[in-house]
Amino acid sequence: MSNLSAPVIRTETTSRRMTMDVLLAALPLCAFSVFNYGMRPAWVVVLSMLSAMVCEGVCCLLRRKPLATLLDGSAAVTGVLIGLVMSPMAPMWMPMLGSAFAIIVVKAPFGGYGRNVFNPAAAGIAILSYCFPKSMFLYPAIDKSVILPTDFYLAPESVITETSIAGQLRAGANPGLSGMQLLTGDFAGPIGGTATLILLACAAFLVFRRTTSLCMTVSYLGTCFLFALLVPYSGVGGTYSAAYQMCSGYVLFTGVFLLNDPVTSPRYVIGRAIYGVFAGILVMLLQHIGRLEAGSCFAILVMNTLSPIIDRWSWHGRRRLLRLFRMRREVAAHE
Amino acid sequence: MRPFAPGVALPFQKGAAPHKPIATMTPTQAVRIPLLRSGNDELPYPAILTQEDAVLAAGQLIYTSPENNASILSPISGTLSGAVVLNHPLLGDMVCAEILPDGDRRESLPHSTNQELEAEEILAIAQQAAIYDERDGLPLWEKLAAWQLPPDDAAAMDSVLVADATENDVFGSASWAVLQEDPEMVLVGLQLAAKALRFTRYHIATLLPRERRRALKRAIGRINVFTVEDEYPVTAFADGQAEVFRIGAQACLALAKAVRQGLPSTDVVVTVAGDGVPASQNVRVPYGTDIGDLLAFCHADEDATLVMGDAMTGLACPTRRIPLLPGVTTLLVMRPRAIRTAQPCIGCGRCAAVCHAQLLPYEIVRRLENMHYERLQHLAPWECDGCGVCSYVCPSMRPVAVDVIRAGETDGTLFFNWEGDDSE
Repeated sequence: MSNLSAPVIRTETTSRRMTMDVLLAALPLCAFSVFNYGMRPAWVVVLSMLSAMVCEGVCCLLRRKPLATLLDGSAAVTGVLIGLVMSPMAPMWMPMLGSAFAIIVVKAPFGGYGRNVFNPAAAGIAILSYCFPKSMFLYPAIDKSVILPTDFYLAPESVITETSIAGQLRAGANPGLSGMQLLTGDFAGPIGGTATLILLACAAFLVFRRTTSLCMTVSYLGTCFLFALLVPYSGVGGTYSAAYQMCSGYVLFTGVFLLNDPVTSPRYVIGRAIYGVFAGILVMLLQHIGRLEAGSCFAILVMNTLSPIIDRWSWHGRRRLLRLFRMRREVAAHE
Repeated sequence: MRPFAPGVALPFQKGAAPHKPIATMTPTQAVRIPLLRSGNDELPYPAILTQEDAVLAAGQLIYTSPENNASILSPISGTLSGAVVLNHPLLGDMVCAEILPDGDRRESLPHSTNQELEAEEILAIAQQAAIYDERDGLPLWEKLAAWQLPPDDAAAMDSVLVADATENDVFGSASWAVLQEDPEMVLVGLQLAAKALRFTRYHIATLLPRERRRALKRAIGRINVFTVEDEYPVTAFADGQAEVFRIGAQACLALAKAVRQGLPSTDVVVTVAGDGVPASQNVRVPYGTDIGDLLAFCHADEDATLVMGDAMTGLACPTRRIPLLPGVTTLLVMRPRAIRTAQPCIGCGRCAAVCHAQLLPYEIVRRLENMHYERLQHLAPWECDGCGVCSYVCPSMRPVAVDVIRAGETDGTLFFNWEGDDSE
């Protein structure tokens, strides 16, 4: 008779609201790309999302779970995140394939949302980066007068392409962009990875809504920035190198979206800070010495495996330190 | 609320109850007072129960509990109809004295207006007057006797006795109403209790709205009122590093009345609230009153679920035909709602962020689910005090607190039972 268990009231925040927050934050990024390239980026993101949701639906049926599970929005988030790191001119089957891989191989076999070990979006991006690096990292030049056609497959020859900042830095060239260009996203890059100001606004929104963790985002971005300052690329000196590195690839996008997947990141606040620091170092290392120009998805996958250990050890470490201090204080008081 | 501190600010749903005078209820149905748990059947029944149809006055001693020497008084004047066995859904079987109400005669205790009572005398009066701490249902004298310091102990400077009138949960406002009604007597009771403990520091901790807090400070002196942070659960009941000992504000009032006026403690102020009552209100009810009787007095919805306790820690109770026992100051009447299914943990970490015991609730639940019982003890689940705030913040609607309490109660050892009990 009673479906009431303590507490009788609950906070308004539900897991669905958290995923909806991420989708909401993805909207302006997508809109920015639409503004730059026409409707094609929107199609890429929407098809990626649909593919993820269809795969999730099939997996739900196979696992005898209600289709209403789809409403938690996690599959949609996975699809949208994969869509957002695509090149605006990527063939549309590519994000669909990545989303399908993320859901069918990385998420569903472990038990679905909340039980997956690896971040599905990062895994989807990783497999696409590994299999199709050419299509992944071939970006159309940013030109307001050119509108990309919404064909399912777009021949690379039909579009004027440009190397991304990461690619130029790795080749030892100076991208030669002004600070304003970097902030406003006036350079070639993935759909959701160029609009620096919008990304920072998204980060603020998600942190304000407590959907993502402030300490994890700040420690990650801080570490990346320090690393970039300390290890500049040759030919580009000082702060500019750091700014280029922060905007290159999807370092910023990773910090705002991929890193903050609650399921696969530590949950304890100190663990999150440590996780952010190590993820930052790994992302920047891969950026410098990795085979691909954007290796942050691999860094996230590696960190996912360490996440439970970081989580537990940070908690135990804090407790032991506190106990030690308390014992010392007691001994001092006794003496 | 302090930023980055554990705890949450709960919604304020006390309604008009704190602003209304306390209603007084006279039971219309039989009142049942628990005498002993049925597990102790070999204990003798009190002599008074052997005289069926004995006429009792309110406050008359009917039994002394063999468990803790606490006095059990008749809460109302009436006719003793005998002993009944009550099957309490939350506490198990218990033997109760059943009293049918009639009239309003009242027994008076020997009392003293003398200011210079000894500590032991105060304890004896608290025991005789059958005062219970309304926060946990324990006899007040037993708690005070356990905390009492020897004369001229240096620890008296570092210890604070706090009359807890915080009511930081969602619906409850009983102690606010008591404080509003008679703040001076609450303070007198607190001073007596502090004297019994030989403490020199004491204050009333409250979370009253600002205007009423000011009025309270004017009435009993600024120094005697401590304003706690608006957070759940409250962690700081006093400034600094002082060791805090808490008793209920209603227990203080009862002690003052017993010592100064000779009135035995036979009733308690209870908040009846929730969406199943037309308006929340505070009612003064004799102990042992049938809860169904009380809810009818408050015009509660017949179909609604009864929750014993407040929103964060209350337990749903399948029947209303049970007596009101010490330890309950809030009764919620909640309309049936759609069942909310718990989703898998998404790892947001909010339970750990709000836990003021600094535990890892999600990890404890995970180990319980994965049956890694032997690794539970590394997470110290017994440090949980069951405030329920982890369940409150969980976006996946999981009953986190229930699992953590379950893990803590057993130290993770009860689960090894399947390996066989050595004693058998």
